[in-house]
Amino acid sequence: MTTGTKVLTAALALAAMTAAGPARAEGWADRLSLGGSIQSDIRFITDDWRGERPGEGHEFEMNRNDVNLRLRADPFDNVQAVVDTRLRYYGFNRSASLPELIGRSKIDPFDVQLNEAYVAVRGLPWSKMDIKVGRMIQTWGTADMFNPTDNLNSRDFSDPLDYAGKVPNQMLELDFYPTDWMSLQLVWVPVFKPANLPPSAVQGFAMTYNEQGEVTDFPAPPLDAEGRAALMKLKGLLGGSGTVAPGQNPLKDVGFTTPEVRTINPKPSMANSQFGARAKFKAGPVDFSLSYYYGRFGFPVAANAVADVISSDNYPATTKFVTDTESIDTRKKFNVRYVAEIMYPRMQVVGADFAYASENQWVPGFFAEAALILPERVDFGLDVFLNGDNKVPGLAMEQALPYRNVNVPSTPFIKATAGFDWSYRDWFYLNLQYVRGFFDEFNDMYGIHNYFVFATEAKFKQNEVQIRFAGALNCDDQSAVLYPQITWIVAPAVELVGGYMHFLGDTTQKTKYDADGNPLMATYQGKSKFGMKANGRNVAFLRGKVTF
Amino acid sequence: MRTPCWRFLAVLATALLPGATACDWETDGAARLSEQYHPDTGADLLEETAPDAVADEGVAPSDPGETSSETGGYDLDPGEVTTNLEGLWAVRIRQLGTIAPLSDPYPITTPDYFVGTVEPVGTKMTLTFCNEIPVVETGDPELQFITRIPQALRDALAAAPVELALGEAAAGLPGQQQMWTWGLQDISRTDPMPTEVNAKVRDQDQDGKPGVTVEVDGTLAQGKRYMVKRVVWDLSPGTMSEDHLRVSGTLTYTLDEQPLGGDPEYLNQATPITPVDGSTFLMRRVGAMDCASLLAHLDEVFAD
Repeated sequence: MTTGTKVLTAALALAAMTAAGPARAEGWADRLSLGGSIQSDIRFITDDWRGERPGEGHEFEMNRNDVNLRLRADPFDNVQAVVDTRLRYYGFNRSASLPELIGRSKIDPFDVQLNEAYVAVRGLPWSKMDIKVGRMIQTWGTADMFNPTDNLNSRDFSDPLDYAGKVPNQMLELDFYPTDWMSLQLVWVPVFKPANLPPSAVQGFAMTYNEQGEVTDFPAPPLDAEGRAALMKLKGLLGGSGTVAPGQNPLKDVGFTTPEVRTINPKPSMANSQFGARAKFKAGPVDFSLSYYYGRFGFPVAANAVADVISSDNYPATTKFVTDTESIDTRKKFNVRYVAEIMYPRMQVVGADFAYASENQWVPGFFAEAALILPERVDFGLDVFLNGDNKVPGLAMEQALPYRNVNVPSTPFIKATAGFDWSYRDWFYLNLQYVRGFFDEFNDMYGIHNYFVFATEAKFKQNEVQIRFAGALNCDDQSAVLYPQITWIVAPAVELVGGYMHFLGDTTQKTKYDADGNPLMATYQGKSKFGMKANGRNVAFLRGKVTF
Repeated sequence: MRTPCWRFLAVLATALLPGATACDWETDGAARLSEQYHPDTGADLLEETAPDAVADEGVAPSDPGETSSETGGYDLDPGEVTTNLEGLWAVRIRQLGTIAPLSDPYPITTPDYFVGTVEPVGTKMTLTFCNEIPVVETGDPELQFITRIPQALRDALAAAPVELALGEAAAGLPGQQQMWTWGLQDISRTDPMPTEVNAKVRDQDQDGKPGVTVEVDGTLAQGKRYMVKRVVWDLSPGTMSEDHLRVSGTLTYTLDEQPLGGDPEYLNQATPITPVDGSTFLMRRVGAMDCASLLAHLDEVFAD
């Protein structure tokens, strides 16, 4: 929490206590409530082709054991304080040396997370106004999870099975209720926090390996045709030619360090704080709202990359990369270090959404949400060094290095969701949505894709057994994710869940071919949305949860 | 996938929101690379500003002494170099801009290639046109806009060389404005462009069509456009490299293009190009060069 936020929090709490003093309750116990859950989750990787190297898999992926606690205090009638925490123990031993076996932190690693911690004051300083300060999670929009107008908190995708998680952040919220059919919300978020990515995200920048552990390809950066041609020339230089003979790996004698991806983080300045405003309206069975957001996109966008090459004819004269001081492997003909930078582009978002709920059980509820996004332009840069110099044989380009092309144009674009949900009593539930623009899409060279997302659920035996089947289809590349699960309510508030998540699509970026059938550099646009390894592994899971 | 429908909606929504812009925000990943790994050049240094060393070293397989027989003259080695501009030059004038053939503006790079000659103790450099190869960066390999200059037009433009004024005794290239027209005659820099065939329009490539004919190719349109064009370059003074092999500088420019017909007819529409900062020119002193050999070795000739 920043100093400014601390001061503001203390001042508001003090003001609230002073103003609401006479209404203080007799016993604190009546003003406190504690809830939470205990959950254990274990997952097993069912594939052996979506890992960093072929053959990796068929093993346990993770084990998480969570204790979630939510404490709510109502010290005064118009004051509420909430603390929501999570203690998580990771089931895998992380010790790798004798000294690490002495303590418990490596053998039994854990972390503590503060999800929410805020104070809410109602009816002050105006009777039709609320103030909330602290660490919060906001949810805007009427669509189901795919909310393009919801940008105040970045997404938390640390759990690949959970698309609803968000990264909490400190903020100041002012709510106004001038009439019973309209409300206005203003939110200021002083410091930007990026999205929490899944462990598999590093695969998005990983080299491609064959079964012998040799690198066979680079990750495709967002380059136009000339830039891709340049990388293809570099690949040809490293491999001795620009083409790949069947069954041969031209990069066999090339040593690659693990690609390094650095993030360009915005400074915690006032100019980089975020602001949102939303007006909500209610008209009979229809809720709708208009919103505006000024801030940054929570998912990173590629800004530049450097291929730093040292050749064997330069050993030992050059033993350091340009990009770092890492020593080279003199057994290899070439050593390559790949360093990339990613950043969080600024944006303005003008949003609108509505939801219609009918009292007729045969009529589904409809909702739609659209966001006009005015993005920051991002030019991607590519640099290539050979033995510390930009002069690379055969790499003459129309542009001088560093090469530049537009990755994100400044042109406004639209992300949208529209769909319906319908349920028949407690037995059956159906939700179908069209989504334009997945969570992480920002109209960069990958573009904005179109999706159908569905979820259906059937319940049996007085809801004791629930079968749910969900999934998403990318209409542009026909990749998909399927997510069936079955829940057994063992006792009230005690559940066992078994399920499976499976990705369909190409794991490698599509390679285009020239007229002679020679492979061209894989394109950034050719990535299969759900096929990419960056999405994670195909996993089966078993989860037990007790809620209190 | 960017469908015209969504693009239309985005543009419409933007139009309905006065002042809705992205605040001219821009992150330049390439500039960051310059800052981090090219401290000598600086992030804002133009790409073509006077390299101290000739790029022959480490550049593609061209032997400076080699002459290509099939192209009738190709020799990057100028031999004994004079301190003035006397001699033969390969010239590239690269104009940067944006173009909006649909609704989105795309960056466009328009390099014009010439062979330049300066007579001993001459006062001008004569630029003989070789080709213009514009590149539109749509960011989508499936969406391409290609314009080609037919040989007849290349020949016609080459027959009317552009002349750049030089300093006394060809000592240097001073800053200057230069107008260059395609399919026009008797027109000043400020005259309105003809919107129909009149006395200012001439069939320069003599193909029976008004003005000049360029070929249009690409994803959405193929055919021919008949047009006239006027470009006015405002060249900075040229900077000569220490080895006197290169002259480089920057330029701003204004560009007027007026279509006068098309085959198919829908190509008879204006697609304005808006200049942006960063245009440059580069001249490389060569031993022997004609247009064919220049165009066949662009990467090597203009390598850094």
